[in-house]
Amino acid sequence: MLVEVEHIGLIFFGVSLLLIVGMVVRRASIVRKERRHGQAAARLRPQAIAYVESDDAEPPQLRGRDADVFAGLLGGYGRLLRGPAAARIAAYLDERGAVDRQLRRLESRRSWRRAAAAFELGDMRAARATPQLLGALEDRSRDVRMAAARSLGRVDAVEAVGPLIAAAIARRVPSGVAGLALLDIGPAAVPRLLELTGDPNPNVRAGAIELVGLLGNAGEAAPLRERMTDPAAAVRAATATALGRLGAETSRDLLVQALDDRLPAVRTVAAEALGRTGDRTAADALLLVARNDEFEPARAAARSLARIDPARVVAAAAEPEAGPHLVEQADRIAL
Amino acid sequence: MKEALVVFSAVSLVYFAILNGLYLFLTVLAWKEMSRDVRSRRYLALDEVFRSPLTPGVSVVVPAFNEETVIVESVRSLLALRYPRHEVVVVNDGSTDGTLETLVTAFALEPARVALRTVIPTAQVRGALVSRRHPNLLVVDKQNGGRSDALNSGVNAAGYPYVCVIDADSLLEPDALLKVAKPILDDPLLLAATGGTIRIANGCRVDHGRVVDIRVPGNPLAAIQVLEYLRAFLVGRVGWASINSLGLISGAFGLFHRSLVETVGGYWTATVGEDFELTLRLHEHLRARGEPYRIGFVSDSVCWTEVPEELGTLGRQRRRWQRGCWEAMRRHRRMLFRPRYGVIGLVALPYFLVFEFLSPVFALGGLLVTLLGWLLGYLSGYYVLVYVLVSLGLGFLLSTAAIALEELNARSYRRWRDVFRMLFYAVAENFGYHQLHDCWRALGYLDIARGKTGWGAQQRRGFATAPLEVEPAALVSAHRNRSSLPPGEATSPPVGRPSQSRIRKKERRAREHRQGNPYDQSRADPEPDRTLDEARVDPSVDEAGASGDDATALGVPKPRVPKPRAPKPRGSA
Amino acid sequence: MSAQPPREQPLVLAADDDEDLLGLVSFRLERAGYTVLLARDGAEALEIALRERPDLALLDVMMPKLDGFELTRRLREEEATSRMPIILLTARSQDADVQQGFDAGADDYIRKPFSPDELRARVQAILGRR
Repeated sequence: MLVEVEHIGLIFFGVSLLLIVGMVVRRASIVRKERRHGQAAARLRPQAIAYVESDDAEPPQLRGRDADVFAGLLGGYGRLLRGPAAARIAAYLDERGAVDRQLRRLESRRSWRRAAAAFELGDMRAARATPQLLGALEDRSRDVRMAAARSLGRVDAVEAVGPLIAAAIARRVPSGVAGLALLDIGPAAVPRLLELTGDPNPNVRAGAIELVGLLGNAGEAAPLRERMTDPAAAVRAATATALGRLGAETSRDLLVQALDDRLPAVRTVAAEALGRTGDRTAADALLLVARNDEFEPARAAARSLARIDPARVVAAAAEPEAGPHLVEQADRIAL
Repeated sequence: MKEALVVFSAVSLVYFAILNGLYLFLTVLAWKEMSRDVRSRRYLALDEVFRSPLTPGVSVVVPAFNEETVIVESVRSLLALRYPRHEVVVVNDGSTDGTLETLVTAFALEPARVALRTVIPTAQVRGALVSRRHPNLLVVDKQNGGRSDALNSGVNAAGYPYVCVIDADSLLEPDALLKVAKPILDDPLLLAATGGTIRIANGCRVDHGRVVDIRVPGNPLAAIQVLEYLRAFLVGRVGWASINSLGLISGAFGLFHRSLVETVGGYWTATVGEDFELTLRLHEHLRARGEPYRIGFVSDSVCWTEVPEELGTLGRQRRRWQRGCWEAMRRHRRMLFRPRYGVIGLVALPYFLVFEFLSPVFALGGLLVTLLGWLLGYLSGYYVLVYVLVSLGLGFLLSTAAIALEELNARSYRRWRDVFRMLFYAVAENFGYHQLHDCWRALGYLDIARGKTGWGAQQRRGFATAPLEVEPAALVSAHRNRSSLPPGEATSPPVGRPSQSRIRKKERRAREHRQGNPYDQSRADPEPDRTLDEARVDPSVDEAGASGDDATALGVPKPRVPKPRAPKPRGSA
Repeated sequence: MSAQPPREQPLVLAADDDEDLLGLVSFRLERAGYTVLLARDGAEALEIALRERPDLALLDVMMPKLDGFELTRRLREEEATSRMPIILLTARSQDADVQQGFDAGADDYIRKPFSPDELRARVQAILGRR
């Protein structure tokens, strides 16, 4: 038995040796590749920049590794840019077949390949990949779904609005990821979102309202107003935030009303929203909340008041019953 | 007598066979998980998190006690973190040096009567300071109460739904917060907390709060610790996390739901192992709630810290960790072997108890016994030699695997020289360091038996330390007694006590170590039901659920190599 | 600025830790007739700004050593550069960031991803006024 044990010791050493050799070889190969890539990139960079920056440049004729490096450079620039330059890059990549290659990868059996493909399609702004990306929203791997959602935002796929929202509701995709994608798609998403503000599920209503607040303009405030009396607290809170962001004058009364909501979280959000609207006529109501309410709403009210009427805050803080939040804001104003 | 010796030797053998089997298993798991992890970085979409207005804010809490040399640099680098919305809450825990003054000067701080919550009771807060130039910086000045107390104060003062806990002398990489937050942001109802990787900054060049050149330190102790930390994080945590059994968030770098920390009552002030204890308490609470939950680990999210380079300091640190481990486990001993607590109770805690906490018994004991047995002729020299070989071979394999994982992960050590030095220490550490380490931990038993509490009177030691090594623009000086991570320990060493050797003048100041608050005596037995969950409608906060089948085991293994059973074998068996 | 004779070609300082971006920006601006100086971190940018007194500074926010906001503040404090036009070009795009940028003294704020044409137009607008 001891003989076997001794062999085991040697086996351990042997495996370690293999690992070391493997490390050395891998490193050497990576270093070599990086150096070659770096040289090619340095050579091709001027052409890449020239292509990106000029309106009428012809893409250089490249082959093999050079072509790959060039495409990689363009991809890097594509991430920094918007507008016609970015569109030019996207067109080039598409012509090279890069988009097709990723579309094929989207069918791979390995989930990480599919996720990487979905991700890169977004980087390439490959709008024509939208149907496949929509399909990938249903993938069984979460990573793939998330990458697809993000990319749908980057290709501005208006038809993805519905599916994105559905995916967020069903928790197939994190709400933050879907939300950002919808924000990227932009105002085109608003009509559908407004429809969803009436959805039976309160989380859906709340999420939709939040996004309308970020995407819409003052005109969208009107349909949201009735949500201020929604039975679900999350919805009321989201509505208050959205109204604050949309900035319609007419929202002020509703928000002031919301300062009386029975849940502190809603009062907090209403107070914050009033700070954004900049409406001085809300000062009295805010003052009450800042003096007497619980910690979070009072703090939010004091902050908002500091934004819209600093003089009032300083005056109120001097009074005996001012409460800690007004005092804090007065100190901050005096900084 | 002979039988006893042989039996004990055999038991030690079995003990280490199991232990090393576990490590091998973890290593294999870690390999698989790391490969997957590296691939998934391609589509991580961190840029999206950064630019999204929907990303929730994070409050970075930094407890600071006598950190005047490093605090400004550290805070600057925290303010510069790449994250869309965050604040830095520095808690000055009654520093007796110039910590507060340097902060005031560097950031144009002015006192303001900031309204602070007191959800978690703490020592008295003396005041708060803010800066007009840096609107997201808040400094809370309070009476000394210990690191836990300072952290609790920071959690109280935090304004965002998430808190990131970090040491005052550590450096986060610019993307670290983004990376450590991403798993929680993607699934806030499931993820209760995440932790990042701690790497060793000794020997690295630091410029303006960023590590710019990663080297293996010249100091042998520090170099050995590099290996320890690699094993602990890249093998240990990655491995456990891959089977959903990660139970420990290091106190040096962790991200939590603020509401969750408040609900369980914050950190326990009467222990030196407060982060281990908090993590255990989170597990208890979350399991009691009955919903699925996870604690995640991000190997790519890096926090740099300095580790002790002197035997004395390092020894004290490890003793303290041993004690902290005990204190935390003892408080949660009800979880041991109870199916109610799932993998934590059935696997992780027992593992920590037997294979981490008790390992010095078998390591040192086994060594002595085998030595004795060989000297007395009960055990053959051949037997001894073979075990040396096996244990060395295994230890070397585990360390090599850890180094290989680091290659896969980030290839941080660019120079060949550094890689080979690590390999050298992978062998060398078995001859002396492991034994010494076990002695320190055995001394930890003594401390426990003697009922030692708190940080002890470290200032009694006179250190003939070398003058401060100050690298130009470097954040930290050479010697630290604090480390933010337990390489093989379950406990994360608490921070907040000044490092001894770092600043000689600290030793001149008699520091008093306060115990925690009296209040915590009443929290001696935490009951999840006792604390009140606030009714929460905050749309931006999703509190993590609790318990479920998700396995969570604490796992930060240190590869326990069976000690060589004999000194150099004298000739043949 | 008024003490200096007007240069033939306006001098622009571009500071960013992203090499790609520096390449794009300098190409575009040079083609539009500006001389471009590059800096890769805040400290270098500050040094160049004080030494060369550029006609405009284009600054990233998230740079090592000295971030864009702090750099802007410093430039505003120095007599030599206190009236230098400063455009922040950055991925930090939250409202609070824009606010902070203007509070620090910047003249304009461009979010990344950006359009190089738009950038050139804004630069020309600002320099044309002077």
